[in-house]
Amino acid sequence: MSARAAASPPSRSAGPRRLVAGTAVGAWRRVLPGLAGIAVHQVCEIAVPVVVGLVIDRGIVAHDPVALWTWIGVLVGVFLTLALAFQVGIFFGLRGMEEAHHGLRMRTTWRMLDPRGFGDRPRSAGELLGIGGTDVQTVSGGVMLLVFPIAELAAVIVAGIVLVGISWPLGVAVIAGGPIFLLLLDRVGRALRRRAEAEQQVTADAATLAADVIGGFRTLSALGATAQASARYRAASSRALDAAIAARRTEAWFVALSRIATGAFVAGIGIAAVVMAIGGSISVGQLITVVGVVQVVMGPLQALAVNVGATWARATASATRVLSLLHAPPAHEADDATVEPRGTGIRLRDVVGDHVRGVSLDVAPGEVVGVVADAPTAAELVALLGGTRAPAAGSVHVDGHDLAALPASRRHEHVVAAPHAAHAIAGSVARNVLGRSTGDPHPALAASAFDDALRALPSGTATDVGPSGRALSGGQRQRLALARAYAAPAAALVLHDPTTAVDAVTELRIAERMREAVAGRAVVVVCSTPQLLARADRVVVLEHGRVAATDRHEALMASSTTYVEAVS
Amino acid sequence: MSAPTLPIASGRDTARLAWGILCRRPWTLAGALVLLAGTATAGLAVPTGLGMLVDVVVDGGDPVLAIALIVIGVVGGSLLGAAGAIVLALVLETALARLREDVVDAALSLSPAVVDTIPDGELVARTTHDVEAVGEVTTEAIPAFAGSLLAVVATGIGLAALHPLLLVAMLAVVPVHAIALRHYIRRAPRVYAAERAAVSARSREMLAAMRSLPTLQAYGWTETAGERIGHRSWTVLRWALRTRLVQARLGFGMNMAEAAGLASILAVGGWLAGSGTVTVGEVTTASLLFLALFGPLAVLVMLVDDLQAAASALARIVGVVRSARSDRGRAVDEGSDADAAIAVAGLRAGYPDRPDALHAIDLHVPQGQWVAIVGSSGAGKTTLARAIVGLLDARAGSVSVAGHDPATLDEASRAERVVMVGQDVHVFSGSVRDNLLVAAPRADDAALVDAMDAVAGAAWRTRIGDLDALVGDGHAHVEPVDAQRIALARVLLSPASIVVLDEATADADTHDARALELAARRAFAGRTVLTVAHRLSQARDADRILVLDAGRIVEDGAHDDLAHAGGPYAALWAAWSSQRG
Repeated sequence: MSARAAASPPSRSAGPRRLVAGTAVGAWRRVLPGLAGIAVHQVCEIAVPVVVGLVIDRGIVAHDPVALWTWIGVLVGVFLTLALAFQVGIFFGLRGMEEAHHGLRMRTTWRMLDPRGFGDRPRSAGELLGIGGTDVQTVSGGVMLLVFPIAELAAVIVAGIVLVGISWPLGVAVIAGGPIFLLLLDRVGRALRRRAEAEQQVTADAATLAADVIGGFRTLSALGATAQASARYRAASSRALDAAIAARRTEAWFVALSRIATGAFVAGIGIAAVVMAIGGSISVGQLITVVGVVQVVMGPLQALAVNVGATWARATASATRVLSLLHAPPAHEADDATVEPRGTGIRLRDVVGDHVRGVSLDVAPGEVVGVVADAPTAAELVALLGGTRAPAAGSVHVDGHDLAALPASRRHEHVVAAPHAAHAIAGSVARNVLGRSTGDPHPALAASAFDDALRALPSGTATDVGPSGRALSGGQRQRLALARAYAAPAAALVLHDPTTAVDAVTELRIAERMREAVAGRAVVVVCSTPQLLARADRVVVLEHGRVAATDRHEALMASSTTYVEAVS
Repeated sequence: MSAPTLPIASGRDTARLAWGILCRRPWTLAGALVLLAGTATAGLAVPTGLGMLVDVVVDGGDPVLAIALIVIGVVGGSLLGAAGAIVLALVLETALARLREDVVDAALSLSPAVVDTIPDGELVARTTHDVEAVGEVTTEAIPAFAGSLLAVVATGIGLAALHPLLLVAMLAVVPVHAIALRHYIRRAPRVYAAERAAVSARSREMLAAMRSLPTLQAYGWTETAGERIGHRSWTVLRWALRTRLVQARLGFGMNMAEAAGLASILAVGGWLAGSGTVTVGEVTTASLLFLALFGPLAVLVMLVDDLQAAASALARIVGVVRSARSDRGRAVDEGSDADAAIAVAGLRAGYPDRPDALHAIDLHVPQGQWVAIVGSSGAGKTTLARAIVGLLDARAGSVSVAGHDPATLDEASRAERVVMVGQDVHVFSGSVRDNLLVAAPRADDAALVDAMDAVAGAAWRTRIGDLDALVGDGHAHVEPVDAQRIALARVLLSPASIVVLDEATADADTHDARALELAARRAFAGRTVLTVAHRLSQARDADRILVLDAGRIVEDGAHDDLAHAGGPYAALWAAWSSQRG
C-alpha cells in the first residue's frame, strides 16, 4: 500500500453517513455471503417453534409414532441448518468487518502520519489514538448493519407469513403491533436509561481519578501526601458508589417494566390464540406455534425497532470524528518547487511569524551559524527552518528550494530540523540513527558522544532501545537523536538545544566533534550553550524577534552583557 | 527492565479476600439470593400456565387458573427480578467500591523504592484496568451468571416435577455441551491471549508513532512507521477472526446441545403422553421450559471467559492489596528535633534487587545551608537525595533529618520536616488550586497565589491562568517548565525546613532553566536545601558542593575552592565554563 495513494483525501462532499454506508457497501464481497448465512440462521430460528408445534400436533396429539419421529428428525435438521448457516454467515460477515476495519484504520493512520501535517489545529496523541482506535472500530462495526438487520427482516417476514397462515388477525397484531409496541417501550425507557448513563459517568470519573493519583505516586511520596490522596480517592469512590447503586436501581426498574410489558404483549397474543383454539379455529399445535413464534420473533423485532437506530447513530457519530481527521486541511498545499541550482544553503528573507518579526539570514554550505533567542522565538524559528510552519510573510529557501512550495513529503531530502524532544524510534540503535537506509552508524554515534554508552549496550548498535527508548537514559536518548541528525543526508541541518540533558564534560566532547560531523552542510544551531556557539562561524542574537547582533561568540562575550547572561 | 516485582495473589488468597469483602453484609447477600431464587421460580409459572391452557383446549375446563398463573408469573417474576437485582447490586457495588479503595490505598502505601522497580504503568494498570475488568463482571456478568444458574436449577426442578424422566431427557444436553466446552476451553485462552497481545502491540506501535511524529516527519520516516502499524493491524485482524471463529464453533456446539435436548424431551414426552402418564399440556410446558433455557445456558457458557479474566484481574488486585505496608512509620513527639539539618553516617543504599548505588556516605549539613550535588549520570545523585528524604531505605549506616530517621517517620511527620521535588513532576487532573493543596491542605487562596508568584513571577497568570484554571489529564496541557513551577510552589507552601530538589531541567530550555534556578534560590532562602545540580550554574550558586562518583563523595567544598583544586569538579567546571567568559 502506498502512503501517497492512501493519504489522498476523499471527496469533501462525503458526509459521516456516506462514510458508514460506504465502508459497509465497500465490503460487499464478504457481506453478501455473510448476509445469506445469517438470514438462513434467523429464519430457521423461527422455524423451530413451528416444527415443535408440528411434533406435538401430528405426533403427540394424534398418537402417531411415525409422525413423531419424522418431525423430531425434521427438528434436528432445522437445528443443523441454523447452526451451519451461522458458521458460514459469521465467517464472511466478520471477515468483511475486520477487513473494512483494517482499511479504515490504515487510511486514518496515513493521514495522521502525513508529513503535510494539520492546517487547522494541532492534535494530541491521545485524540489521534482515540480516533484511530475506538472511532474507527465503531464505524467499521457499521458493516454488520448490512448483515444482521436484513437477516432479521427476513425472519420477521417469515414469522409474519407463518402467523398470517394460522390466523391473519394474530399475524397482523404481531407484525404491525410489535414494532409500535417496542418503539413506545423504548421511548418510555429512554429517560430512565439516560439517567442510568449519567450516573454511570460518575463511576468512570472515579477510575480516571485512580489513574491520576497512582500516576502521581512519586510526586505524592516526595511530598508525603499519599495518605491524604488515598482519603481523597476514598471520598470520590464513595460518591461513585452511591451513583452506581442509583444507576443499578434505575436500570432494574426499567428491565422490570419492559419485561412486564413484553410479557403482557406475548401473553395477550397467546391468550387470544387460546380463545381461538377453544373455539376450534386453530389446532393445539398451531397454538403452540403461535406462542413459540411470537416469543422468538420479539428478538429480531427489538433489534430492528431499537438497536439498528442506536448502532447507526453511534457509527455516524464516530464517522464524524474520523472525517474531521481525514478531511483536515494540510498545513501545506505545495505545488511543485521551482528548482534553483543546488548547493545554495539556507536563505531567510524578512521572515515573520508570531514571535519572529522580520529575520533575514544566509547560511552557506559548510557554514555553521549559532542562533541565541528566547524560548518561544527559538522554537518558532526551528519550525520555520524545518518547514513545519509557514512564514506569515517573507520566505525561507533551503538548498535552492522555497520551503513553502516544496511538497512536505520531500522536505527532509533538503533540510532536517531535529526536534528538541529526543524521540526514540522502536528498534535498534542503528535503526534510530539511519532509519531504513544502510550505512555505518558509528561515525555519527561517535560525533554525538554516544560511543561510551554504546560500549555498555549488550549488542552494540544492534541493541533494541525498547518502547519509547525506555532502556536509555534521557541523556543517552538526546545523544542518539543528535547522531540521527548528523547521519541525515539533507544538505541543511537545524539543531535545537541538542545538549541540554548531558553533563558538562560530554557537552564539551560533543562540541569539539561537531564541526567534523556536519562538514559541508549549511547548519543552524539554535541554543544557548557556549561550547557549541564558540564553534560556530558566527552567532546571531535575536531580541524581540529581530536580529540584535551578529558576531563571533568571543566577540559577543566581550561586548554584550545581555549575551553573557543569555549563555551562562 | 526487570520482571514485575508486584506479586500476583494465589487463587486461594484471592478467593478468601473476595469472599471476605462480600460477607461484610451477609444478610443483604442472603436476601439477594432469596429474591433471585424467587425470580427463577416465578419463571416456571408462564410455561406451566400455557401448558395448562393447552390441556384446557384439548380436554376442556376452566382457563381462569392458568391465566392467573401466567399473569402472576409475568408480573411477579419481573418485580422479584428487579428487587433481586437492586439488592445484589447493593452488595456487589459496595464490595467493588471497597476493593478499589483498598487497592488504591495499598498502592499508595507501597515503598517508593519498590515502586521504582515496577515497570511503568503496571501499578496504574492494576488500579484502573484490572479494577474495571472486575467492575464489568460485577455489574453484568455476575448477576447474569447467578440468575442463569438459578434458572437452570429451577427448570430442572420444574421438569422433574412434571415427570422425573423429563429431567433425565434434559440431561441429553450435558455430553454435547461438555464436548463443545472442552474443545473451547482448550483453545480459547490461547487465542484470546494472542488477540490481546496483538491489540496491545498495535496500540503501542501507534502510540510510539504519534509521540515521535515530529521526528518521523522531520526525517521522512513516516512511511516505515505506517508500514509497521499496518503490519500490526493486520496481525490483529487475523487473531480477531480466529477468536470469533473459536466462539462461533462453541455456538455450533450449543446449538447441537439444544437440538439434542429438545428432541429428547419431545421424544420422551411423546412416549409418556402416549402411555397417558403426562398430558399434552405438560409436554408443551416441558418443551417451553426447555426453549426458555437456551438463553441462560448460553449465558453460563459465554460468561466463563469473562469470569476467568476477571478472576485473574482480581488476583493482580489482591496482589497489590496484600503487599500494602501496614507499618507506615510512626509519628514523633515535638521537641526532639536536633539542630543539625541533615546527618548521614556510613550510608549504604540501593534499589531493591540491585547492587549498592551508594557506599559509605558521610555527610553533615547544618541548618540553612544550600548544598549542590554534582556528578555524572549513574553516580548516585538521585539515590542520595531519595535516601535523605526517606524514600529509600538504608542498607547500612544511618540517615537523620532534623533529628529523626525519615524512613521510620509516618509520612505526615516526615513532610513537616523534609520534602522533595523529584524528576518526574506530576500535574494532577484538576484546578491549579487542587494541585497546590496537595502539599498544604489548609492553605488559603492568598497563600497559594503568593507561592505561585514567588516561583513564577506574575507571568504564570498568562501562561497557566488563575487558581481555578483546570490542568492535567483531560484539561489544558501544561508545559514541562510550568509543571516544575507548580512543583516548586507546592514545596514552598510546605512547612518543611529541609528541601531536596532533583528537578530535571532537560526539557526546559536554558532560559527557563536559569529562571527556575533563580526563582528557587530566592524562594527557599533560609531553608536547608539539597539540590541535585543538572547544570553547573546551580552548583556555582550553592554554599557547598558535593561531587559524587560511583556512589561515593569524592569532593566536598565551596565552589571557589573546588574549581581550583585540580580534582573532578575542576575538570567539570573547566568544561562548563570554557566558553562562558
